[in-house]
Amino acid sequence: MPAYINQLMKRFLLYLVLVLAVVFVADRALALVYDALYRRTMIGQTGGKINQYLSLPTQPALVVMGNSRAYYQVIPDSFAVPTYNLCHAGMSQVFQTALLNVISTADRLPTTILLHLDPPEYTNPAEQLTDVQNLKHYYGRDTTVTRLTNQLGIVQPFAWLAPLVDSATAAFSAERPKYLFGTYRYNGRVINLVKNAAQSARTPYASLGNGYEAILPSDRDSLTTIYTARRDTADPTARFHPERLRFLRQFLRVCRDRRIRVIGFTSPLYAAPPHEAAACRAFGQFLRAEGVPYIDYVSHPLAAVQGRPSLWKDSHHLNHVGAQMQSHDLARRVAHLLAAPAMSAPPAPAPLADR
Amino acid sequence: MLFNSIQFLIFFVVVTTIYFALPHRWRWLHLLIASCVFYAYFIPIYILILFFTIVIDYAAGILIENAHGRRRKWYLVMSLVANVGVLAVFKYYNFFIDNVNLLIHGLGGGQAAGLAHLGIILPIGLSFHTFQAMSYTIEVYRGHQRAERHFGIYSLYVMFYPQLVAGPIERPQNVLHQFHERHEFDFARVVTGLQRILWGLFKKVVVSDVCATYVNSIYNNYEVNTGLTLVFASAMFAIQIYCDFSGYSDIALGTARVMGYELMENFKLPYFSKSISEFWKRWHISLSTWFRDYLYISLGGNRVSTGRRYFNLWFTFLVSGFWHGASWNFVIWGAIHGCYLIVGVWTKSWRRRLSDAVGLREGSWPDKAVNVACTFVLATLAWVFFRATTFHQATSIIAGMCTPTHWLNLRIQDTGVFAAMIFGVTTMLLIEFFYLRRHNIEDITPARGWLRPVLFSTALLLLIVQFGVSEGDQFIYFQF
Repeated sequence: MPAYINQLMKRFLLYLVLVLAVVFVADRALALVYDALYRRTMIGQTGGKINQYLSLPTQPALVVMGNSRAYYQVIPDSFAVPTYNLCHAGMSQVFQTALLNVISTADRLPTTILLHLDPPEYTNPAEQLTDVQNLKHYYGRDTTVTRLTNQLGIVQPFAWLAPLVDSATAAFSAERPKYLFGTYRYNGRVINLVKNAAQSARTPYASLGNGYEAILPSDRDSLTTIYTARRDTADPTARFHPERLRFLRQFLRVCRDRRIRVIGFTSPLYAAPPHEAAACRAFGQFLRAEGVPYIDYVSHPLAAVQGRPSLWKDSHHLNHVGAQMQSHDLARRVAHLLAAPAMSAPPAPAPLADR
Repeated sequence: MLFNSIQFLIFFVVVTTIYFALPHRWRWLHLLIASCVFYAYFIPIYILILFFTIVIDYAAGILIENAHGRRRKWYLVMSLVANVGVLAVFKYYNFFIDNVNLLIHGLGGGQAAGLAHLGIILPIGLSFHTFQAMSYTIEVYRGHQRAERHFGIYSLYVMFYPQLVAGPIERPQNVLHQFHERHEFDFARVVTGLQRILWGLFKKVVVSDVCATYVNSIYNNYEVNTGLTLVFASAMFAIQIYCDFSGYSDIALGTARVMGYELMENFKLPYFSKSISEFWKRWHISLSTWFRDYLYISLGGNRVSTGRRYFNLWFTFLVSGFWHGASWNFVIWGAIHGCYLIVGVWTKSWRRRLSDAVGLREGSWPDKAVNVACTFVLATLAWVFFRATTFHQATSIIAGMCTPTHWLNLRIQDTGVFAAMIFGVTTMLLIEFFYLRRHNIEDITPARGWLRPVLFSTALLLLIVQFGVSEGDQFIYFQF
């Protein structure tokens, strides 16, 4: 190789080192800023809600977990015991299982969890691992989040290793190198982080309530509900996929080990197609076998909200008025379960992840 | 293998390092193997389709060059039929069957089962490499290019991995000779190539993929969205598809440039165009020039009667729409652009008089701004047909845009996504408006001092890490 090319390559390497050094310093500095902002964030679904829950002065007896159909529809004040709504919109069971580990590691497990279960998640053959990305902040800090994130990024030819060997999953994960950047923990949520941190600084978080967020009724609700309900048509090909239960099984196993009571429920639909009801019935069977009480508003609709589009935001979500009705009914149905003596005290926290 | 993946990053570093370590005589083989690996990463078996067209066109090129008279044309037709045949089977067969079945039912065929679909997936980038292969035999036939005797080099012309799956659709005159030339390591060229890659990646993951999140949420619920929301989502789709495709092209050009290959520019800030005809000189240049050179001119181009010229123009865009996909929506999209061009020519003097009447002096910045805005609106309206999954959806969206009820009700959905989208689009437009209108990314070269390229690369890297969608979709144009 001619000497002048060697010289050019040396210059290039020097240039590369310089760029990487500047990136490294800027990245670490920004990561420190974001970490500080994150710790102060007490609202929002990019970690603020989890922070708020972990900072509560007293541990609620009941925690509601699930997606938007529980987030906007279960009002904690309806229950007879102190309750917190820890739901995150759009999040499937994998997220709930990872989140359970996060609150367990922080020793903030409640005595009872009211878990919302959404049938479409189990009639869809494709697994939705990506939701664990919403707990990016805990990568490397929480075993379950780290393991699931590595599984998510595993390079295709090595995907078969994922369920077998954790170390191999980490080695072949395309996600892992991204965390070399400290700011990657805040990837896609920097603006939200800044906004929520600023808002948290202005408002005392303790007065922000119980995790519930109301969808206020609007004059377009009925129209939107009727429009969106037209899409909820019967799907004769939909079937319940028992293999999709693995994260729910893991969730229930952890709760059993920690002596946490779990109550399952599924929120109503404005016009439930037959396959959804069938999936809920399959669910009911599974949960009964697991010893988990299950309240199914799809197969057994809530009369107060059926056929009344003005109580819905769309065909899948009740607005605040509808949410009050559902919460009231739900509270009534779980009252006797909550009144029963709690399971024996949970043992000292230990890593739950590698099960 | 997607350009926006860690796998590609590793692939690129390994392939480029080996490339520069190898003596020149082995580099074609190295690049050919790398290109095979790159393509086989999607669906390995489909490499056989590529091999089929490569063998046919390689042989056709030599036969055309050696033949005389009508035989030359015959060999060209043979090559074109083979290429179009591959496209017809893999891309258009099921579309054809759907329409035949629809026709049978329409003519009273009742609930008959109809003709069966082919159970195949469209090979990635089929239209791109097929068109590139066709341009080779056409150029050899026209005598603009000598037939390539080196089978490996010819294969590399079709398979060169940076532009294999989504272009630019190269011409043999521009690329083939570069595979024979020796490319030494050039510090400034490598750095500017890497910057081009970063710029493309920024457009893809920070702008396009974030826009996609918003646009999908609106288009998937188009029935419940109204006026401004649909207008805004459609405008964001215009930005999304531009950043997706031009981002891919930037990565392709940058990747090739690092190794010393110069591919043709595919985009030149199309949304700063002042007319639709200018738009098509700046958007997907490699395809629009392909259609101009091989279809429009073959139909007679401008050297025919006015009526025939308009037909040629419209027909060329119709075919261009069909090239994009086997769906009537793409055909309509192409037809709309054809109509825009014809109406643009018809109304040119009338529009000028109107501008003068309202005091917009030709060439003044308000005149330019109005023309740019009008062109963007027209392009965006046509994109509705491109993005919608059905004709009914497209017409419903356009009707929704025009419905006055709740028109100003802009649906933001997720505030974080919306803010990130506005941030990404604004950053991209500011860089394009204030810098790229007058310069190229290549002008930020370390040959003129290291400060600017270091800062530029650092800023892009940090923006990608913090704002990029890390689990983004594949590039939209891969499906073509």
